[in-house]
Amino acid sequence: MRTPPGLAPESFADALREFEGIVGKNWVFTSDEDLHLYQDAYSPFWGEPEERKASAAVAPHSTEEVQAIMRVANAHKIPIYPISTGRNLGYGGAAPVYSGSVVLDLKRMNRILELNERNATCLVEPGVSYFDLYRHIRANKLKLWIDCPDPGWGSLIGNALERGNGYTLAPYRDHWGAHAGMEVVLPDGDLVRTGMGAMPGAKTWQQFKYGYGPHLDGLFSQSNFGVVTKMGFWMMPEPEAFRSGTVMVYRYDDLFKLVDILAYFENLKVMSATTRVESPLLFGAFKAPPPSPELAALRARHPSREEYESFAAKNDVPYWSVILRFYGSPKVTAAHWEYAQEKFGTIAGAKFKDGDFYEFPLSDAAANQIMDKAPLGIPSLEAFSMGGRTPTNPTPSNGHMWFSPIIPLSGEAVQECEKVFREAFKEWGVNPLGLPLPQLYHERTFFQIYGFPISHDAETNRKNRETFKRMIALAAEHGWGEYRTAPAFMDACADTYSFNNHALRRLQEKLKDAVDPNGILSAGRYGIWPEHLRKTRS
Amino acid sequence: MSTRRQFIQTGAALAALGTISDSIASEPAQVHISLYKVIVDATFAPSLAFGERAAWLGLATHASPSDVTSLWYHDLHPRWMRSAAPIAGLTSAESLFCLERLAWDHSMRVLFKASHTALPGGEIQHSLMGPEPVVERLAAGYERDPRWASLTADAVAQFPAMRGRPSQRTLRARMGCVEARFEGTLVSWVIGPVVETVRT
Repeated sequence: MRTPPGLAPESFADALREFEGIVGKNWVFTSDEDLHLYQDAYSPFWGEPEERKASAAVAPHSTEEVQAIMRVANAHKIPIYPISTGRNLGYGGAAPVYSGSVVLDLKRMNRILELNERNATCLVEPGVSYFDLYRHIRANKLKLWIDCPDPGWGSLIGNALERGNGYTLAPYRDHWGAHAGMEVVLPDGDLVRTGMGAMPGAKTWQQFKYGYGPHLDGLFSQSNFGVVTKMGFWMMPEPEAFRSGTVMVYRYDDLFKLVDILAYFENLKVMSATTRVESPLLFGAFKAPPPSPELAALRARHPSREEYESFAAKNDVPYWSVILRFYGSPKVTAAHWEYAQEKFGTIAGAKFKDGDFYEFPLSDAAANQIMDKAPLGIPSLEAFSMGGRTPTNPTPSNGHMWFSPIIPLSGEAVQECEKVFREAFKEWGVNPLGLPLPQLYHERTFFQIYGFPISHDAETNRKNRETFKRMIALAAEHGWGEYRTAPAFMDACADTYSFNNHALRRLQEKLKDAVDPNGILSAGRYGIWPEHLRKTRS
Repeated sequence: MSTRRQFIQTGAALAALGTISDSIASEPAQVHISLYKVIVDATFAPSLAFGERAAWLGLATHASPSDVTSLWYHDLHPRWMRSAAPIAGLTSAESLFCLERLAWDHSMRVLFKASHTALPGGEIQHSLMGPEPVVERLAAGYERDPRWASLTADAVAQFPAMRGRPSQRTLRARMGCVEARFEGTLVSWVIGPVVETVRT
């Protein structure tokens, strides 16, 4: 039996017996076979001593059981690491940040407690996945949409607490921003409801986010101050129609005006869906077929900007393109697309291509046929097959870790970020995965995304971890910070948020010591360590 | 959701009812798992050969693309919500990655897995993990017969219901004519409830 660090085996055995008394013997896991399920499938420490592992797992079925578990954990000073569905792949999965913690697996708490079609809100438990909610909506023919990340098998609560994103409209695609009200078990077992939930019998827990007094909800995201057992969300009413269209421009400098107009539409909420700036000329577009032999040969020569522009004009291959997505009635979406063409048409030589058009509701068969499901709120697992083994990719990697700093929503920022990292990669002799193209996930910012494959070769992983940390530091030198990261890099990222001699971290640590004096909950998560581990943190 | 231990208890209950006699239980390969579906990825020729053989053996086959969303959402999930139901397949590793994790939520595990890697020179490397009788029988078959995908279908069709001693083998063999049309690595696998050989 594994034992949490610093804990006597007898004390741990006593705690496990008490956990069994709370949840039943069937829901306390200590065997290697069971604990294997809580390892990070994308661990950048694959097979190394530093790989994070759980000492046990306990799976409660109710908030009351979570409270009882926290009280036992406090009494025995057992480190606890809550997970919702454990599918936070690329960001640690189900593995604890502090190795040896007991995973608090909330998967059995999978009830959809409320779904209000008229107000377009829901209240769910942590084990409810996007698929679960989607299935429930379809089965009950409700005119509501979910907003899901890809893949869609994760937990609504887990993804929101990680500040994950989806693909529909701005109020919904920011999953943390879309939440309304939480129920939280504190490390000492006390139970708190935030927002209007603090008022017994409140009628607007999922409608009015703020309640009264300080808005504390943010303390419970990307942190370790409590175990969220219920959470409400604003949902998107099913629109009558969806329409997409592509804007294509042909000169390098068109990037600046393209992004300015995109930002204008985003902030006006004319077009507020997730999108990305693509370069069919430089990198190919997302899900696009391989380049023509002529374009492949051109890219291989690393030509000048002028040569690229000449090729773009002659061969009708855009330097930059953006897919716009509109939701509303058929008339409204058509008007928005027409308006977009008018505004983007002020870029000399801009061209436009009509995309998909759907009217809702869709039948199951029609939904199944849709290629790009996430912008329509349809969960899928397609992301895995895209990186999977195909005749053209016979040796896929064993997962990935993403570096995705937040940068300003401007062409200049895209240009600078691309240049800084291109030169750094050349100097360091590395070649990350993916397309260095700006993604419009969070409002008013881009993030630039670079990926590294996870290998089963320790030396390769070590080098990639080293590069990743260098990228965190380099980005911070330019004022770009990570929005989310894997446990291996949480401390390094937290280190870059260092204004006034790490005043934010010092405040977080004061709060941690006050709320969790025994330091039992999610030690090290997002760089917040309890007092007894601060000196030895990784 | 049922638990892994409930499945263990299911095995014990079967024995108690006399479905599995003492003599048979000591030879677990003679009591076979009842496969709900055999999953085939039509992108890959060996997977098609595997599926054809499985169908010939009377197993229900299901062709799925590498994206298993539809298979899981419309078929496996509703079935597994009723009770655990074993499946087998010859697919990409990515398909198995998804199906394995989805199966965990229904108290099932990968009981057998073989990686098949095409090598230069017309050879194939098989790396097998699973119950000893299955691994040994397949390893011997791969060495004498190049129709490895069909042999694998035979093995999963007769997969033992009770978990035996685990074993691992890696070997190289010749490719068959159908199986010659693939590159990289494919995986064959069985997912099912864990049923211990230990009686209670």
